[in-house]
Amino acid sequence: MRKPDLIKHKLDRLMLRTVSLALMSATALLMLYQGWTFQQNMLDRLTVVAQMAGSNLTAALEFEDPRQAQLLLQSVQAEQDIVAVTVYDSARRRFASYTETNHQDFQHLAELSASQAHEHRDFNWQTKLMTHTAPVLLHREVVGYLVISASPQRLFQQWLISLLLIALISLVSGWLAMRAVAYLQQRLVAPITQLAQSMHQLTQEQDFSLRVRCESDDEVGQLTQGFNDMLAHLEAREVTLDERNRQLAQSNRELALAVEEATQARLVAEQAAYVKSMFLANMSHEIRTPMSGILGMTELLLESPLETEQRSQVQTVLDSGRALLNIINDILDFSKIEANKMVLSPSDVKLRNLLRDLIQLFQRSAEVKGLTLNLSVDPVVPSWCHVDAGRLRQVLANLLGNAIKFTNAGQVQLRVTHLASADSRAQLRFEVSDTGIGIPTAQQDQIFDEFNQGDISTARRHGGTGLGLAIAQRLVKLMGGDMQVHSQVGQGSTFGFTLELETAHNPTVTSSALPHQIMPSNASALPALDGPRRVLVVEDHPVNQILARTALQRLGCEVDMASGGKEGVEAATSQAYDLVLMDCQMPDVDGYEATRQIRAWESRQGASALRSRIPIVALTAHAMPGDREKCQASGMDDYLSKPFSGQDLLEVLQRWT
Amino acid sequence: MPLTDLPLSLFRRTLGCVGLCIALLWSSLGAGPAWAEPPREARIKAVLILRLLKFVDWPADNTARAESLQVCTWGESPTEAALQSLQGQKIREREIRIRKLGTPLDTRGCHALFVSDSARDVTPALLYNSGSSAVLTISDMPDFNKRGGIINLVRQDNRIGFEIQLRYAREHGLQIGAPLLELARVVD
Repeated sequence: MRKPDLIKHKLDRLMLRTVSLALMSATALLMLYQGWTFQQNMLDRLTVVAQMAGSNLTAALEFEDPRQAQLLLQSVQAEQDIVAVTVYDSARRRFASYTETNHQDFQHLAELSASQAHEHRDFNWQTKLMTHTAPVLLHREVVGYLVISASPQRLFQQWLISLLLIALISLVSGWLAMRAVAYLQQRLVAPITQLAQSMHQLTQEQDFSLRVRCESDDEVGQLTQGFNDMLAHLEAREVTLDERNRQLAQSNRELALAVEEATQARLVAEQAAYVKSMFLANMSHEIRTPMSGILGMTELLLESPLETEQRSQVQTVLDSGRALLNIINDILDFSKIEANKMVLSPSDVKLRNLLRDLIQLFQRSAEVKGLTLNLSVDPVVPSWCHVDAGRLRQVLANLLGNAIKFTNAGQVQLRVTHLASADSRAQLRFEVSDTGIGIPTAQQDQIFDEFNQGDISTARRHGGTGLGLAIAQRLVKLMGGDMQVHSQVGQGSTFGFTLELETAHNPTVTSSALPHQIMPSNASALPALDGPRRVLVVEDHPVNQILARTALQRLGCEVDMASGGKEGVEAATSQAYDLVLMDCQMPDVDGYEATRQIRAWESRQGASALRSRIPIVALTAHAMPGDREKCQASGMDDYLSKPFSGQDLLEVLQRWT
Repeated sequence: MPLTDLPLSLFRRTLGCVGLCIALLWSSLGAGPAWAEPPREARIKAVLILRLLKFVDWPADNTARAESLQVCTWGESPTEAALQSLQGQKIREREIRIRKLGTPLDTRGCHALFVSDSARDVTPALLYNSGSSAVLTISDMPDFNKRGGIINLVRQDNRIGFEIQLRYAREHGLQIGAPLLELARVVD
């Protein structure tokens, strides 16, 4: 990690730079000045010496007395730095000279050239001597020339000493300056450093009770004070925050507890609802089985010779039984839906036939009330649709039934319109409208809720479980639609829903059982089979045995009865049958197992078997999801839901024999 | 300053000694037949006198005579004759005028007065009379200093030196240049 560039170091560098720069410049300037001063002094001195010596020498020169001149020159030796003095006469010939004892090798020029004979100063680099040349004047007459040579050595030494001194002073003052800086830094930076350390500590420990010591009232002091104030605020805030957090945590705990309880309660409730639904489903099933017996037997009884009064009574029993079965079926459906066990079984359906049959079914009840029952189908509506025919029929039947029920005059209409189609899918609008009593707006929202019948008075007047519309709505939703109602009190109601259905191009025939008609009302109403069939019924329930036998015999079949799975397998493998009707739930060996055994036996027979594979059709009261798959998996070919109608039976026979 | 002390120290050192001689002049004199041509020594003396005048300052009241320097002579001698030939030369931009005095008392206008050796008898009176005015008295007669003269040209061995009576010079208001004193024998 890069070391942080602290203010301390920055200041150090800055100060060091400033101080050294200042000291160096000062030193350099001082040195230059010193050098210049020394030189100037030297030259001034040389000038003075030249003047003095010159004026003393005038007489010696005038009277041409070199000895005297020589004598006079000796006085120069008292002068420091002067190495030699040469005197020339007015003709510039050497007249007298003086050489300092230490510089005996000094060469005096014998003659002064004309160009040199004027007052000037020189520095001879060869001899490293300064020379001062000046004419000797007597009054204004030049009587000779004087050349003084001086050594700058002492000057250099002095200069050097000055240099050393200045350097020393610089160093000392630099050191003092740095000491001062260090002290200042101590005063300035130390609080900042302390502050920074405190901040660091604060960041690390999150301890807001920390306070930084404040020693001065300058900007740093103010900063520190501000920091402390901020810490105080933070601390206070943290305390508040902690308190809030505690409260919040408490709330959260309570909330979590509540959620937990609610979830628990919901699970319990759901479990209870599920159990209830299952119970209802089971109960309905359990009730339906005997009801099938009652209704079947009653139908058979009606066909026997009876007195008019007896016939009327039996007819009443049949009507009541059918009503009861309707209620039970509703409950069963609702329970299934609630338990999420309702699964659609779509197949290719000829929609117009379905609708026509439906209208036909309600024609009589409409006529009884003096109502017109209309069917209107958009010509564009495709002929074949992929839909669960039974459930669609159930929904529409419910709506039609209600419409007729709540309409006293006028008409009931079933209308199917085509909204749009794309990619072999068609949007179809199904509507049932009436001119009945209508539904108040306030109740329209609740009309699809279960157990709701508009208002209680209506329920009393018209009866019913109140499940019809709820089931219808749920079925429509399962089919991907949503049912709405438009109604005005006294004007009538319109129930409608839109389904997006796949249009079938290559339809396969499927059963289209009419509900609640256990037996074909008379044999002539049904198309006869083209020949007698041998049918084995594997069924443990005696009533169902009788019903199946009667229905089959009425269709012209030979019927063998096996009252258990084991017995059924024996019969199927020992004799030849055209069809086997197999109950799924039997005490000893159930239908699935029996079928598996039959199929296993057939495959053992293999190629040598003369007989073809026996069609096995399951009889089941469950109609629960997975039943169909379970049947297919065990080797069954088709599936007939109990209670089955004569029509169902006929279709199965026609399909498989 | 060392140099300012120079004349005094030198003066003390040379006090009592014969003034410095003009070796060059004398050697040239001595080289030839010395007494065969007396005017040669006289000429040298004349030149010496001329040079001496360069080192002498007259008092300010003599400014009227500033444009010329009048050298007067008294008595007959070869030197006096040699001086005559210096007529018209210039010293410090002043023209030299040589005037032979008719009477010794008439020294007005004279800057310097050369008294010939031959006029030894009349000299004192002349000198005292001339004391009132700033006249540099020069002579080559013996003991000229003792008799009131300022500069005495002295022959010693082969040289001609000079002795300067400083007191007289001061009394007459004359300033003798220090460098000259270095060369001279100063008599007080």
